[in-house]
Amino acid sequence: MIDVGRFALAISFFVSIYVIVVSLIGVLKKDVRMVASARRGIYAIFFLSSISVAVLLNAFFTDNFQVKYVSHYSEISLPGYYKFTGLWAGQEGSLLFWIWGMAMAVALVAFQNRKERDHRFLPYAYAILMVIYAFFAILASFMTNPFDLFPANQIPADGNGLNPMLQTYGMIIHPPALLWGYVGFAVPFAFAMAALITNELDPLWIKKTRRWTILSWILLSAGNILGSEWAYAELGWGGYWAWDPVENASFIPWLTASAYLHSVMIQERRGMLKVWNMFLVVVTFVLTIFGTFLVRSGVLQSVHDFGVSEMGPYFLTFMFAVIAASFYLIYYRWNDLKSDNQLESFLSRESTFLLNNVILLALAFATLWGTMFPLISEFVTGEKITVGPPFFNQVNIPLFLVLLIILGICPLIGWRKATAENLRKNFILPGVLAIVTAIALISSGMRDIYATLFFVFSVFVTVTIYMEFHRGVRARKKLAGEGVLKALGSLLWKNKRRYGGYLIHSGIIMIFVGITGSSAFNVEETQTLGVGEGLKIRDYTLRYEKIYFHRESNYDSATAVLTVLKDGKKQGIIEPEKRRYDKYAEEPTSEVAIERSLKEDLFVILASIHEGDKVTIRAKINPLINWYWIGGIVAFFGGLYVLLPEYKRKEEAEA
Amino acid sequence: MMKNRLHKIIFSLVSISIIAGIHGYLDVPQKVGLSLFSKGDKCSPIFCGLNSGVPSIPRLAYADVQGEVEEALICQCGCGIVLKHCPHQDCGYAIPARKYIAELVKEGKGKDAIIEIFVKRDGQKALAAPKKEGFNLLGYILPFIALLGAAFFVSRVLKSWTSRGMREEEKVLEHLPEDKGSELDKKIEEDLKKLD
Repeated sequence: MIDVGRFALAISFFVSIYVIVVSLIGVLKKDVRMVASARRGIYAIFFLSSISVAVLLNAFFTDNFQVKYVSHYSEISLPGYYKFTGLWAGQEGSLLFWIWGMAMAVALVAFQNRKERDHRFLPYAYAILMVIYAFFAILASFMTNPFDLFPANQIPADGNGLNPMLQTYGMIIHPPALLWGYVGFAVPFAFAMAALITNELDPLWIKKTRRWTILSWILLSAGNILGSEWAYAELGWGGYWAWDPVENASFIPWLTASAYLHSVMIQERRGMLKVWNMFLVVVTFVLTIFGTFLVRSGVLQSVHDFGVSEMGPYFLTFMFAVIAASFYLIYYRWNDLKSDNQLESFLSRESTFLLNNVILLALAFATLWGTMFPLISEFVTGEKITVGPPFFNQVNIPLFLVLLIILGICPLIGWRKATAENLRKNFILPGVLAIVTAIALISSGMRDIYATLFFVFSVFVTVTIYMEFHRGVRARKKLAGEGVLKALGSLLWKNKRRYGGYLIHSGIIMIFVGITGSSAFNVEETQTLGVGEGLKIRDYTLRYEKIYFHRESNYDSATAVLTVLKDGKKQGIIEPEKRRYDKYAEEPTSEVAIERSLKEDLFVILASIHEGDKVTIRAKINPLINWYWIGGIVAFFGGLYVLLPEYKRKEEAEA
Repeated sequence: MMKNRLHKIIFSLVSISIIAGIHGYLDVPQKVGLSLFSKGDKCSPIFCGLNSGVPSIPRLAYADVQGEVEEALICQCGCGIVLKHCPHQDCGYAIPARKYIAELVKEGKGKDAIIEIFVKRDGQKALAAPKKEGFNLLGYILPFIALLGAAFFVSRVLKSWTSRGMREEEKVLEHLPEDKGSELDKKIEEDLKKLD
């Protein structure tokens, strides 16, 4: 059975080579049958990689510990849903999962375009996607094969178990979202390169990949947010983002992809920024490979990495080959990538989009620079250093602030040319409300400059978004004679891209508010308590009632029971827990207890247990933190809304 | 006039970020995670709860020093997280290090002195962020230099595009009878409205 998985994976590699060859022959000889054969080859690859995944999953669920990978990441008593997550818990399995995601994406692309025969760039796009697939398949088949077996006389009776920190519900969604986000960016990259090769540089390749780009962006966003939720609920330090190299590795392509999603609008509307968009597509894809490299090479220390492996040089070679080939193609088509139009005014939405791109790229550069700086510094000075949160906070906060300001200014400035009068009119309300907010915050005692600025500009941006909706509803009321709700409904339905975009911006504002509140105004207290004693933190008192111990399938647990009193009134019971997993007895974990509200979280950790049932409790209040998660959800659904089919006017639909 | 205005906007925004960066450079908030801001002693009542009847418990001064030191040092167990928040409950580095810091605090040593002891013992890698001196200073300032360069480059590109665009527009209009020009403009406006 295991051999079936191994062979399916190896055969899929050879089929990918076949697809590359027949795609290229098909397009060069203009043989449609060859291209059709390539497409069927792509479906076969998806089928083969699905078999490999199914075989590995079966090995997990049947506790087949002869498979080294299964024995490393599973055990008999591991709950079923965590056996499922074992698929992406380690180097080999996650690489197989990456491959499967890639095969699925390419199969979907082939299926979507099965009736397209007029575009030469499609077979090239298939070939490029298959080159990427082949690279990963060769690594998985011949370097880190998830189907490697123990000799028959050395099969362990039970596995090592899954790392306790990975035994959390977040593990079910977070890694797949990130991995599929990474995979998805291969599609716009392949189409962009194919457009360059064939010189079919009209916006068709952008239209064909728009949904892929947005979907990948949504998945990457969801992956990042879910990752921070995992850190918050599982790592037990009360924070959610540690500027860890691997976190950064998924954040950097998110930034460049966000820049691309904005600047590509200018190309679609005005035929401008073609070179820039090509550059962003390439950079985003290369950064996804870079992220994969960071996790898998062990060059930088991280709580996420898979340890040192020999794959680093292969990833680096692949990355540099991609960069060299892509930039050569851009250079080769430089003249064909010239803009169709020129800017009519400095003060236009196009300019603000460019400015937004500069800031997003500056953030990406600063984060990449900080992530790689330990290596650079060691190379230059010979001394190892660490670049941690204080560095990133100092460098990135000002850039985030400017990004926030641009988020507000952008919708106030029209496409092509804005007049001074329009600007004045559009800026008055948000400007005044921002000033009022500033006065209110300062007079209420807020002295933190950054926090004040972030709140003030969040209000500014929120008002500009509201104004956009208000203007649209008013126009529909006037022109179509609709009521407010119907006008709002029509507005949202008929302009999904625009208003979905504003929903995403609203989500981003909420995220900024959540970060600001929880960072600037959190408080923390630690205290050792005997039964009946209380820990006081702001207006809460945590009264320690008792501790009880129990046994689950694969761990022992100790749970402290604390009564939460707020202003002296009982609010409820909170139960932080400590676990000691059988297979990781030397690494006890904390299961935090969180009392959530829109105003703040009461975050309680059972830090240690002492003789006489005494416990040390660490409590933290994180104000406004839940707006971070809510913002993530709003941005996620805003993104999904943008993905819905575009509304077509009657005459367009008939045409 | 418009050009100057945008120039001003671009440079104001870049200036804000650079000034803010310098502000951060001068006053380092040694905090962990995405703790974007230094935590002020005074909290806005909006977030603290205006009618709190429970006074906060007095904490010993050394507890603050301990926390600050633990946030300024990186755990060397491989987790890559600051000492205070190492997620490993039985960490072979973090637990003895915290005890050692507590002892040093009790001896009366200040934050900087304790950090220096760790740097001497474990090297510069013990710090959560490198000192702003020598080559490492470049780490802090290069992102802002890059931003300034990018902003300058973009403003030049915008300027050249705009003037070229304006020249081309003028040329087209010169060769068009007035009524045709306005018809053309109307058509463009209509098309753009459709796009919008």
